[in-house]
Amino acid sequence: MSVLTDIFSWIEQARDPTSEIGHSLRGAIVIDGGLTPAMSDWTLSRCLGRYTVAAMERLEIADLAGLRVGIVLARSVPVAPIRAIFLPLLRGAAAVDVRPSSTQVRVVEVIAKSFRNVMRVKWPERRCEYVIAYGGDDTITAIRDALPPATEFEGHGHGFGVGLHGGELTPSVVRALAEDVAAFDQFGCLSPQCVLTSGDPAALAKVLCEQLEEIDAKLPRAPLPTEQAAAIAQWRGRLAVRGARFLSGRNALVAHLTSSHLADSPGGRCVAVIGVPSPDEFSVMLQPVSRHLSCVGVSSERLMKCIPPDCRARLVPVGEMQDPPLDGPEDPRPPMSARPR
Amino acid sequence: MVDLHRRILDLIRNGELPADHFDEMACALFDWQRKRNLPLSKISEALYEGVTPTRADDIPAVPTDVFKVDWVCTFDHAQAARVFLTSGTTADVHGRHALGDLSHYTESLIAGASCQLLPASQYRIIALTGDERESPNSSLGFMLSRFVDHWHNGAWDPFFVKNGRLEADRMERVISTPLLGEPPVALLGPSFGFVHFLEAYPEVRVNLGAKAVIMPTGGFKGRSRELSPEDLYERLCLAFGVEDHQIIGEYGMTELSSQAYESVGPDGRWYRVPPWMRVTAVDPDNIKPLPHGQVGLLRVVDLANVWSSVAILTSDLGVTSPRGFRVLGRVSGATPRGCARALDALLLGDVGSN
Repeated sequence: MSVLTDIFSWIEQARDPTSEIGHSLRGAIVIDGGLTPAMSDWTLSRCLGRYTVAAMERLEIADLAGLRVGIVLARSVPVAPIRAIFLPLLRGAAAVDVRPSSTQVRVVEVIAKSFRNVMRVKWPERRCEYVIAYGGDDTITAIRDALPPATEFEGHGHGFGVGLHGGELTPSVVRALAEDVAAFDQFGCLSPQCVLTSGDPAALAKVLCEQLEEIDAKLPRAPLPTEQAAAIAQWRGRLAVRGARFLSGRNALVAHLTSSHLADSPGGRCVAVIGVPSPDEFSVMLQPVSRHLSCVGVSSERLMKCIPPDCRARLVPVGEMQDPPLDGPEDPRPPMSARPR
Repeated sequence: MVDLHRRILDLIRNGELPADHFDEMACALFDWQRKRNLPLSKISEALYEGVTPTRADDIPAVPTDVFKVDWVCTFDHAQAARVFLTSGTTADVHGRHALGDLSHYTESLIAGASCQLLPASQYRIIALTGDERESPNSSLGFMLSRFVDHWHNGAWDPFFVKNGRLEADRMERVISTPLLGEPPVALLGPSFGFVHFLEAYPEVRVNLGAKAVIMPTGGFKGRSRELSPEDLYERLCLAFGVEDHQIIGEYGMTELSSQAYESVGPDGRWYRVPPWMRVTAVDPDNIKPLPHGQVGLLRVVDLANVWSSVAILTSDLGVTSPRGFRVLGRVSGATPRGCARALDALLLGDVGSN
């Protein structure tokens, strides 16, 4: 049995909510991700839908053939460990040592239960010939620098997404943008932090807020812990002094303002819509953060040329920001590699 | 000085303030500030519908993050008598609090400490900071320098940080001399300073006497090994020969002009505020006051905060009781996914916009 067969079999069981794996995985995602059961189901169906045999075969490039690979995970969307673990195995790794994020251990444990012959849940041992790390720049740099000289390294830093909107208020377009915001309750590294529009930001914010409310009816946002609500309160203050106005929907908050600077988001379906004079401004505004951009969603094809020339983010139509293909890349930015020897 | 400011200064000096008078003064100060402080005006319009409050609880509170992205002040900040900066924030973005003059700030910190921290007329002070010339933008440095000016009567240089380094050896020599007697000793400084000293001299055992005061303040902000407050206080008692009630934690922040101090009672430690300050725990969703005992975001109304905003929404989670308030933790502000560094780039863009 090849590892591809094993993974495919696991995926099939994971799709089935009545199977032991499917049931365990859904529960793990709810806890690890702080998501509602409905969002957990949606998350899993989107994620697992990518695992076609053809896509997995394209990943069997054997560049890690026979190696023991260490994987250090960071807190991310709760399904992130699935790809992070399966990808090296498809690339030929003989075995993986996986160190989960301290706050997201359950999904990793569900996977480990089925792959004990090739996987251990522990900090990568020194005998790992290859280490893949996810996290902030400081974290992955520290991991890289602590490795033995002979160990190869692949580091994937955090990033964030931005939506670009050309002014059209077509319901399907705004709906797609809202789905990008709502997915994973906006806590993913591909989630749009803000939306730049060359149209009327107030008008877009209104429709976006309405669409987020509609989405919430079927995919409710999880209750926010006090800490998260407090972060939102600070975010509102920072935007208010920039002249923002706010629209509150059920489990969503959309700010709108005119500005020449981007805005962050506290997550939890809180997003700023920023009006700019023309799409020509998109590139100017994105330039200072281009190396951090992991994904840019555009409302129309004509906006695809409105990103900085050095930006390596995944460029997709809105609605697809959270749907990277399995044979990816999820994040086209070049990974951090081992330091020169 | 405008009449309103003079009245506030008088009540700080008098130390008495009926509750309804507090609300009236706070609302009057807010009204005065709103007309002169554009960020406060914008927050009032955007988040509080521009209402004119009649109670202190309804005054628009400026979130502390705003001090990082704009000048929250009622005058041209270039004319500031002093600008205090927050320390150790992400992406080296500092909050800034500009003061038009230092009279309210100074009066408040002396009056508040006199009642709750340093009731004697003199102390031999050991400050685990540099004097204010070392860090002119440090509110803690300013505070301890004023304490030294007002109270210190000792044979040594009271500032035990020079060029950014704790003079642990000199401190050990000073505290190892017989220190019982008058005036009592006061050890004051950041918590991480105490931890550094205890790590340098883990075996120190002295007796500072029954009237000594130890005031640790602040968290560890990523420096040195972190200790829980309980562990730190236990070690301080052991090292300096004091009782638990002689350790009085201080709650203050760059964005405020007044401080709260711990008092120890049968139900543990609670921070108590001076009469010109009020702390409530609010629901972070709607910023409405919560009943005693419910965890919320701490919101402070500080009449001494005349140059910025009388009401501040902190990043601290806490709970109140009739005895005061407790701090339960600080909201980091970073999203759970930990994209802190990437988002800091966005935050810097926020800063650049003003």
